[in-house]
Amino acid sequence: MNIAFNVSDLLGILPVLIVIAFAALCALAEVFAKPGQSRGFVGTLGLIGALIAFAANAWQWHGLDGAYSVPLFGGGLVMDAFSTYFNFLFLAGTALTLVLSTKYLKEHGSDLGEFHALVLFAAAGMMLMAQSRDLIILFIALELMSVSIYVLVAFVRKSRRGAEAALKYFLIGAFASAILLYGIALLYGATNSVELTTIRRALDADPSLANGLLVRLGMVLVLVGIGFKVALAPFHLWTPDVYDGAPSPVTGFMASCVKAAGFAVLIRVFTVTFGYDAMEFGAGGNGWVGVLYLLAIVTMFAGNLAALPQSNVKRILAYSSIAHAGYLLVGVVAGSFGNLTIDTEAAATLGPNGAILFYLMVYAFSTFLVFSALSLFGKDGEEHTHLSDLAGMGFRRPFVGLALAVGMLSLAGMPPLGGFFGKFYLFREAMLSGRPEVTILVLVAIVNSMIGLYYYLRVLVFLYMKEPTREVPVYSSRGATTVGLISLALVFLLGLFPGGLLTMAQRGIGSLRPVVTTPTASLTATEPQTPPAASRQAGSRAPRLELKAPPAQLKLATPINLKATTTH
Amino acid sequence: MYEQYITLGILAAVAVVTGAAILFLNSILGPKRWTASKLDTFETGNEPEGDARQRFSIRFYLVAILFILFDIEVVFLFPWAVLYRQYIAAGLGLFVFIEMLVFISILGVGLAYVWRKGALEWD
Repeated sequence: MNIAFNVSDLLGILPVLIVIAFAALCALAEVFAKPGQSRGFVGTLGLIGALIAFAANAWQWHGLDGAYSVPLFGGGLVMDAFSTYFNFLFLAGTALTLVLSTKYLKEHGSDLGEFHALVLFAAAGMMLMAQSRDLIILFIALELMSVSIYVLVAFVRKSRRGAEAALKYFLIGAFASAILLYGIALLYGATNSVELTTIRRALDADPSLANGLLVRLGMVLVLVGIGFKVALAPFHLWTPDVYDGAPSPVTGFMASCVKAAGFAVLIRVFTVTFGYDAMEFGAGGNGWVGVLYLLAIVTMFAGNLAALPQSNVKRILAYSSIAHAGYLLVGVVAGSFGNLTIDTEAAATLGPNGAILFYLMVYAFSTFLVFSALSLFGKDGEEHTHLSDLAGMGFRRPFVGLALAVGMLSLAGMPPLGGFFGKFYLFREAMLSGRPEVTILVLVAIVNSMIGLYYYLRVLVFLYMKEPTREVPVYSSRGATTVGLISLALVFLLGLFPGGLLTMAQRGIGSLRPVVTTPTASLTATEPQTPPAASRQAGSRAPRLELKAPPAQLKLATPINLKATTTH
Repeated sequence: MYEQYITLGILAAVAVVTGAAILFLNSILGPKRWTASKLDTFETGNEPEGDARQRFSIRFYLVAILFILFDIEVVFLFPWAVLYRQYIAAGLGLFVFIEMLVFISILGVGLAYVWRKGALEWD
């Protein structure tokens, strides 16, 4: 890669830079604060950082027109509407996690500022994952996220289960990283590049290479590595233990943001780079879609069936998150079947991949709604999230009960909540691809949604129809109430007025199109030809990044633009 | 496409066969005279003392990890210093210099953190 560097490139990763700066500030604030002093202010500092980064992200979103795609640093990173959309999700999730965890950490005796620093570092990793267009940068970003999350899982030192969960997650995660790296090495060996656009060009230029053993093996290994992170079956076995053992705010962060980051990578690396149209499974293709097709079915059944006998709400949610990964895979499979084409008519639709973006946002807020209530159950490193601990809570703590109930219904996909429309658009767009195989997959997903109703509604039964058998410590917290109210409002609003977010998702997925078109066309729009080795001069060929909105217009926009317009 | 790997395969086969043959011949031909001091644990000539699997302070790990961290980060300074003249000649001097300042300041934040955290104190 050439060292093409423009100072203006830094603007493209401005939200990431802000988050990293505030993470360092949080770590320093922790060590320079008086011992014994409450670390709530570190959380506030982190929250301010997340909100400033959010504003910077909104500035990019509003300052650039249409489905923009700006390569940065010679093509290693990219700032496009797709990554900006995901950054909204990550930063909102980070802010909610920070607000939710302040009281939690105090109740569990782990009131340390490193927590906030680590959440911000993980967020920076996720944002770079969504922005990277280079497998090595992708790997580093993934590790930045993963290592932070390993520590966060074990953050409550009194919790033995937290330590056990972190160790399991670390060991399995390290293996997954190694497998991913091996896959990257094989792809590099086959295509002589780690840059996704160059890999795409190499695969397009030589179909026999795309079908070759080296590329196939590399794809499978990369898929395994990412599959671990998003908890696809059969790489999901760590999920229940880790989600159960981790502190509840961290579990919420993992379920919403880590999964979203994984799917951002999955879409960018598989759908966009490895191709969508020419590589159908069956004849002539290298079959990654076929692999994902099977994984989708296995993941949905593994998640939903394993959740049925669970009696711990956090384990139920862990299996539910596996099931949701399966539903999202339906979108990835359908999205790889040519619906992502460049003709203008298709560009005006959401497409299965756009539906994935919408779904992830709705799923994130449903998850935070559930965890805003669930994090209140427990004290001193001991979480009480057994189903029987919830008994009667719907009447004793009406708002806690309401948050859990609405969150569960949204995850189950009940209208008029956001979760229903997430599923609706995902399955609808998948059906619109018009392929019989995908129709079968959607039917499987619908059957699975019905299976899922059992364990989601079981939580409601315990909340409202059972008498409490024992006293469990449930604290109350303004932070958790705030997170609950915000998520509750968003879950309802996204269900009633999905138009604004759908438009955003469409714009996000639209920005991927210049890359997935024929290799020659992708060079015309925003991307310069990769400079030959001879012209390794800084700046000379680097694309210039110019934001149209002046800094004076920098304003804090909510990610959900509640216009009552629909896109269909 | 795979023909070029034949030489590599031959090399690997020769290496494996040679190694295996030496070990095998050694085990059947070599004289074996066991004595007490030969069978003892080798501790650079000293009398072995205690079990090797004893517990020792977690601080060693901390120091080792901090050492690896800062040592490897400082290793990056070396190629930078070696190539700096070439960067100046290419007109990149200021850019590369600022890059290194950023890098060192990040390192400085890390050092300030571990120092204040007490990770550098032995007790």
